[in-house]
Amino acid sequence: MNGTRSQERTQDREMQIRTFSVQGADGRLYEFTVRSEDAQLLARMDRELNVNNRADLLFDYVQSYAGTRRLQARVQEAEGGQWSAVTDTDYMRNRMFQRDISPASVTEVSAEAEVITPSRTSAVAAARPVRVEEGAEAERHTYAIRIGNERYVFDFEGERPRDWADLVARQDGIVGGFGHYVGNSYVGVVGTEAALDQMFQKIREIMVARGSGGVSIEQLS
Amino acid sequence: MDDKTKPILSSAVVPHIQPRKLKSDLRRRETPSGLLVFASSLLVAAGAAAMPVTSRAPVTAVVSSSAQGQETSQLRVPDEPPLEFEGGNFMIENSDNGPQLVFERDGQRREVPLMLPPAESLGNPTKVYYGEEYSFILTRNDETGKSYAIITMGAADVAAGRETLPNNDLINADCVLLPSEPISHSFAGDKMFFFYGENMFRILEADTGRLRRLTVQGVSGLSVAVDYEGLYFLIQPNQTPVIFLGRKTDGSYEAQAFDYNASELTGLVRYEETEGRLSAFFLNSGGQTIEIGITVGEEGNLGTVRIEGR
Repeated sequence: MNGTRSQERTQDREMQIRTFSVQGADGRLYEFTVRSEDAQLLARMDRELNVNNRADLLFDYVQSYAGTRRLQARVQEAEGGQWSAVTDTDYMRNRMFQRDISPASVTEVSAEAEVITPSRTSAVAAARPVRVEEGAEAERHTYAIRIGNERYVFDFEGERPRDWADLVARQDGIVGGFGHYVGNSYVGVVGTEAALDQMFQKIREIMVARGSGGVSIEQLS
Repeated sequence: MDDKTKPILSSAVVPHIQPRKLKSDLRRRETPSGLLVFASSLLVAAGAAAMPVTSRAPVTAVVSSSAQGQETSQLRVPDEPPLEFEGGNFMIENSDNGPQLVFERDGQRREVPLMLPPAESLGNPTKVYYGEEYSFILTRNDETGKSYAIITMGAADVAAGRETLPNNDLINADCVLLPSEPISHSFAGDKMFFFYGENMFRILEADTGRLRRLTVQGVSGLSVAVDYEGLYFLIQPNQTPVIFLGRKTDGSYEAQAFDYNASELTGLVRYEETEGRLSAFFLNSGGQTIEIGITVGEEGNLGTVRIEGR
């Protein structure tokens, strides 16, 4: 922070805010809120989008200025009557450009100003250490692994197993909820214990056949 | 300001922040106070273990018999715009065989089917977050009342051809049960933050799969976690609007708080990264917008963090 910048920031600034409702070519409703200290830029947007009905220019403005200090924009998507997905500009660009949504119409729904008031720099105190209490937590993970075309699902406590050998070494971490599926169907093995034994037996056989604990997914599939 | 443009970060609104650029060089340094900045991924010694001959302890729970012999359904993730990564697009797509991670670039396409429990267990996905290092899928099972956070791979590893989580040769999805329902959450870098109010929150570390329950004075249900310049900040509208969070070399956490005393902050309007600073805009009790800026020096540690109110 240099002195010049700090001095500049002691001045009041007024941020102009415009909100546009956009009917996308995909039929959905979007809402853009744009903010800028550049009144001329916003006036030009107003005129082109709203007065001249140039909805097609919306993305030109956003692409040219979004993410800069001159123009910030965010978009909300209306689905099921709920406004949601308040996003930042990068996200908005992803959503709007990669989906290739063309605005069908743009309507300005509100215009307002936000005054950013300076406060004394000293209003923010120097850093102070604050105590962090860490509580004990029983962690429960659910994993699915694939052996051939079969899928095994189990609940596991403790550190995430790194590989097949690690899983076998720490099989006591399996605490319950064991399931065994072929394709999308639960195969109905008799008893969970039997299914678990079956899984570990397969793993061991393959590991022995490969002669190493470093068996890859491909080798087991 | 109408309802649609009111402060964006209410407790019910989940902020979305794009993952930061990889700055591993910044995230491994020890700060003057002893804080170690989060490492993006711990290098776990993953050497092959010797073939064990241990016997297994009894399994104490069984899978629901209602699923026996029945077709199970696949998780269907919500449609989200892809993440741009190194000239390609990264996303999760639903297929007949369940969700798969997809990376497309120059007409080339990589697909990694996710190995997941059936939807009957996980419930319905509520949110997907794409990251460069890791991605997260949040689900909720309304029947059981359980919520899960699924850790899976990020764009970089899928683009590089990996099929399992980093430092792991076994799984590509780690489904972590959340012990209780959070008020709000934030996706920040390689971590998910879950906020519960009354100073309590949980951090889910994608690299280790560890879920940590932390209490820090000042953290609230309105807090937002932001990964900025490789450092983690908790931002909330109260007397302690900025809290820097770091992990020490022993894995425990440490925090530094920055207090604001000029007026009462009542709402967080938004935050943004511009001009080399992270700016958080708050409303105060007088209806004014207050900006608090955070800058991080080249060294990327706490000693270079500057907080400025304006």
